[in-house]
Amino acid sequence: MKANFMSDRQLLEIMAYSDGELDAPRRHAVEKLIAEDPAAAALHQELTACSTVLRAHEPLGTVPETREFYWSQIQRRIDAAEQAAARAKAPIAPVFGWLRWLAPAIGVAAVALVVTYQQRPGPTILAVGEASSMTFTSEADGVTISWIN
Amino acid sequence: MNIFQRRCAPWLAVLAASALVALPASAGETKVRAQLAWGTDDMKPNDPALRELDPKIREKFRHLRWKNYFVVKSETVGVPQKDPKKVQLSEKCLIDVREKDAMVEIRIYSAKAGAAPSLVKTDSIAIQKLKDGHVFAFAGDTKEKWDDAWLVIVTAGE
Repeated sequence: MKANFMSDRQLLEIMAYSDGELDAPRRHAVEKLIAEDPAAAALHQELTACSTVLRAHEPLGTVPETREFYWSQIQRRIDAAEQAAARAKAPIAPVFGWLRWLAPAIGVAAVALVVTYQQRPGPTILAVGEASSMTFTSEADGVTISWIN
Repeated sequence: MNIFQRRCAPWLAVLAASALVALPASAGETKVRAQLAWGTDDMKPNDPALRELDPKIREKFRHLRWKNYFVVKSETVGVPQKDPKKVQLSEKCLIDVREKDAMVEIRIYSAKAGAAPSLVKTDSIAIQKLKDGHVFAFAGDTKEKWDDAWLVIVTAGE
């Protein structure tokens, strides 16, 4: 259904193979697929070529300032962050003290609400859980395929 | 026109209109054929229950990559306008169909023993399109066997 109508699983396996992430059994399966399926072979070749080009043309990051100036900027930002943290730790006026508890309480309530609704059985939850899909239509061939991932 | 005719005329008109509205619904209920098929590169297993997919439908799936398509189950059902008609295609696969706004609404469910079927996807296709020979299918990778596919094919019924 995807490019050349390989399955999602196959596309992911070929990508993982191109990145050298597969163990031996899965690697052998993909090698077999690439050997037998021209579309799979073309995809593998394209991924390998892209990877090579990206590695060869990756821009080098350069720092325009002198090394001392560059690090002094970082030191200034660390100092500013430490001062902000110190301000945050300053005692809060008693009148607004309870506000510190409000945000965590709202967070806990929100999580409880989500968990409660997720555990409730019924058609509403089933409707929410509809799978993602991709639809292919060919009017010329008179066919519509809804591919469920 | 006497008094009886004057009183009855509106009721007769309403009855006639109701009959006209009800007639098309009962006269020609749409039928669809639902088929559960299996797409594979393997040869046909030694299972007499499996049969090859109709070559005309097979040709429409030429965009898919599998070499062989075998029909596991096929059923023709009427498409009701109210409550959806359920079609159990396998232990794990269930669909229901109903007519809605000149379309056939098709919902596919994943079924598990002892649990309520869970809705996987809803889609619809125009009735006229089906009658014109258009084929609709839900499809996906099989979980049991790597590299194979399942298809639920819906076509116009006989």
